[in-house]
Amino acid sequence: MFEKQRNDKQNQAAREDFGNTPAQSSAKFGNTAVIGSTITIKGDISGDENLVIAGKVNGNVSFSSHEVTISSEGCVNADVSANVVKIEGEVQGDLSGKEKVVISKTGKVQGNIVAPRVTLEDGAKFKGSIDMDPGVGATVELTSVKPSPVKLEQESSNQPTAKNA
Amino acid sequence: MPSTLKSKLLANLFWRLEQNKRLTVLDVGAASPETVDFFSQFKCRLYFADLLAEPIPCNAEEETRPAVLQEHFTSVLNLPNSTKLDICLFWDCLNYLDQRSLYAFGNALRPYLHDDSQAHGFGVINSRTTLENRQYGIQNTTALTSKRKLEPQPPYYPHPQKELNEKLDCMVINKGILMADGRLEVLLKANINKG
Repeated sequence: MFEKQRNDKQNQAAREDFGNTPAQSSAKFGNTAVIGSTITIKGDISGDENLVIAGKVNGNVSFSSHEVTISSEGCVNADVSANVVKIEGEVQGDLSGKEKVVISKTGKVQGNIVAPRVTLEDGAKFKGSIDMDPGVGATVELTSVKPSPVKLEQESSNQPTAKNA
Repeated sequence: MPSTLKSKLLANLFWRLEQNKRLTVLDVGAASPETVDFFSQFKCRLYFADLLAEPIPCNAEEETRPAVLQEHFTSVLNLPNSTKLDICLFWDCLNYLDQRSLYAFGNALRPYLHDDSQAHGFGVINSRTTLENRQYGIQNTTALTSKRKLEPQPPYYPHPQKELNEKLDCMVINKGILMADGRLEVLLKANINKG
């Protein structure tokens, strides 16, 4: 009986503390789950709450109705799908945001992005494709000109005229 | 903070937008927040493939170098086989490719062009023109953004119009405007049956 109680207490302590320090452990803050910086996960992650990834993930991340943030310490080799996807760390994989995807100034992404709205902050690194569709109702004023025949013009009257090739 | 650069040619690229068609755009520079913001207003697929992010191979033997270079640029572009580009944004990146690399890049790009593909970029009036190390983006249909790059400037090979036309085999310069600093703003059209 006492052995069972001791084992139960040990299991409870293990569940409550994955990491060495509170800052590095996986935890839950409010409605946001956190994968700590010392954690490596190989596999698929899904859930029904917000998620912050500060560790390493290889797999798929799917939080369709919530927000997923890859923090500046996070390194993800996975496709990430969420309502809002925020990248402050490194991602190799495709990103899908029902509402938007944001790559911050510290973010580095190699992959494809599908979202109605994508924001790249100054300093962000991105390689891949972005599929954008602002949806019905979006109107943009355009000043467009149809292609015209070959012509070489000079912008400034002080410069010598450039000769055609 | 990026500065604004007026463009008289950029608007020529966007006539298709009035037809509410989905655009496919290739940007061979570093991904720019302004360009992403601009295209987020439209139905489009925007590819970013920074030509200068990876070193260009230069150790291969002379006789195999064209194939090696073309393979390098095909890998950098990393486009799906079925991609057909409506617009290419070259910025000044072509001036950082030597003649062999420019030719190889054109061959790598050719399969992804269609008859109405267009491109915008910067050449120079002559090979003595100096280039600042800058990153460009689109602010609106008549203006670009320009900011100084923090990375060291790679070796550059300024290409006058004639050289661009000869070496970038898959496209031909349709229109050019000489800028005050000796740069040449150019509009190019696909010439996929050339060569």
